[in-house]
Amino acid sequence: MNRFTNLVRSFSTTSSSWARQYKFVTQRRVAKQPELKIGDVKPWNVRIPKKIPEYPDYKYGESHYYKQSNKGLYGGQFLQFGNKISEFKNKSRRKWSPNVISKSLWSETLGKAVELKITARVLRTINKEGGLDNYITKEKSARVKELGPTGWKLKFDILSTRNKALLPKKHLHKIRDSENNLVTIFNKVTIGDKVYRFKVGKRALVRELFPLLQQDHIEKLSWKDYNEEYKNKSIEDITNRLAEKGFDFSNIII
Amino acid sequence: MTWTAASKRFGVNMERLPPNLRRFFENFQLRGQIPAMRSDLPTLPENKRLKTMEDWKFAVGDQVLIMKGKLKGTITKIVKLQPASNGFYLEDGPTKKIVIPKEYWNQTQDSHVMDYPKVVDRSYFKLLGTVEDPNTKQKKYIAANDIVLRGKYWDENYKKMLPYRCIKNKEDIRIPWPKPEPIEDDAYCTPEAKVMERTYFPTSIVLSELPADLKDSLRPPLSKSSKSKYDKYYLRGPDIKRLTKPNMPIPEHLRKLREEKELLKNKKALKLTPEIEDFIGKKVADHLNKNDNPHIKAYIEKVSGDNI
Repeated sequence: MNRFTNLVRSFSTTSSSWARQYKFVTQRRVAKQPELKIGDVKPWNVRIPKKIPEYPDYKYGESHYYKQSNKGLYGGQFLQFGNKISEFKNKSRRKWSPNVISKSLWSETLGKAVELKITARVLRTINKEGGLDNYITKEKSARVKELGPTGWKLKFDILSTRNKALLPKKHLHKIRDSENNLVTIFNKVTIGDKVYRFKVGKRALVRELFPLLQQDHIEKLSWKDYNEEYKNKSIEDITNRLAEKGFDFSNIII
Repeated sequence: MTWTAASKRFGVNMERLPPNLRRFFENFQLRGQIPAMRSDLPTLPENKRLKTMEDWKFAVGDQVLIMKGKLKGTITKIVKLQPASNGFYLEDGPTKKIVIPKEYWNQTQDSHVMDYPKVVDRSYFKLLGTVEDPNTKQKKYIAANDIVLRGKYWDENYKKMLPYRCIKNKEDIRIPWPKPEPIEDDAYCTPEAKVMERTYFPTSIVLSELPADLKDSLRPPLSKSSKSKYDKYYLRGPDIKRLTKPNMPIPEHLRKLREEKELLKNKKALKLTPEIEDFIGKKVADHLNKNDNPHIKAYIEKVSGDNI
């Protein structure tokens, strides 16, 4: 009989009944957050937090059942209940808790060891995947369900560090000045025949220009209005304006 | 916030304690008090105290007949009310001899022992009213066992609406409220006539002569006191920043894959020009003609329908 059912399974296209269901993960109820814009009336039930949130919302929220699973990588494992059945078929209640261990695992991307409470099953999966980062960043929906709130936060950290590493460097290169000190060059601007090698970024130049333009204004020029206008201008334009005003570049160029 | 309010807040509220514990603390307090200062009647909780004139049914100045003790039959007056115990001080009422330490002596006092008025409760006296005999036209007192309040009228002495005090079961006999002692005006008081003088005469019931923005001009709109927790709060930029959470970054390989997909989706099929069609046809024909297999040649001729 067993053989026969197995034969049927091999031809069917439905998912295996042995696959993990993540019942306690998918059945969680997560409150829908209202989409708010500037100028909207604050709903009475919305509290404005003091700090800007660091992490995105986990789709499945936190577990209210077996709460310690929120603080580690439990792989969707929870406390289970059943009966201990004696020789005389007497039933007494018992529970099965996941095999939880504390472990510090090396993260290649973060460049540090992360101390975690994980289950033995998850540790085995991490070994198979080839490291913590590979386990965390896998995009399969089952893996997202396994991660839990802690894994989700770790995923955010890892992916944002990876993406940051891909961004172009802000500075151009480093050269030595007349006193043989290493100086970082952030911008190189050519206007006419003159070449400016700036030791500072664009924002610093915008800040230098502000008091010079303020002198021209009869009414007070607010920083907010000025910054709105000038922060998106090219560095060449700002350098030109500074040169027009007779700004002394000697401190910021090399 | 005043200091008195703060001290009230942090101090022990005796009324919130359970009765037994409250009694314990009260006894504890009494032990430290001079016997002279102790009240004759027990202090009552806030909810059992009489507050309005209608609650009391008596006022300062009422004539009363003492019904108990050595002074039974004496006619006297109510001098003072004691709200803490719902008690009364009578003018010629009972007194007790108390010993007062020198620190608490009056200026005229010359002995430690002093007669001090006792506080009495309502059962100690009866309210007296006066009735005129229709035959002899003589006035005589009538003592009321109990009082009921009926109707309402404007009392000029108290400057408020008050009920009539009637004797129970003889409601046609009313005992008027006593005349209060006149309040002397201070030097800085505004005279009553001036207060009551009418200066504003509206011309229309529908249209107001008051400017529409008068209410806003009375109090600065941005002041803390004009704000209410029920006012609408409009979200600002910093609020939105605190309310929106970051998005999960997309991995590099997935981002590229999505871009490629997007490109393929937007790619439109080019329409073939006749020249390109000829070129492709020629290429296919050349390829097929290279084939030497007679079976395939026969098949191709059959399918194409003309000689290539």
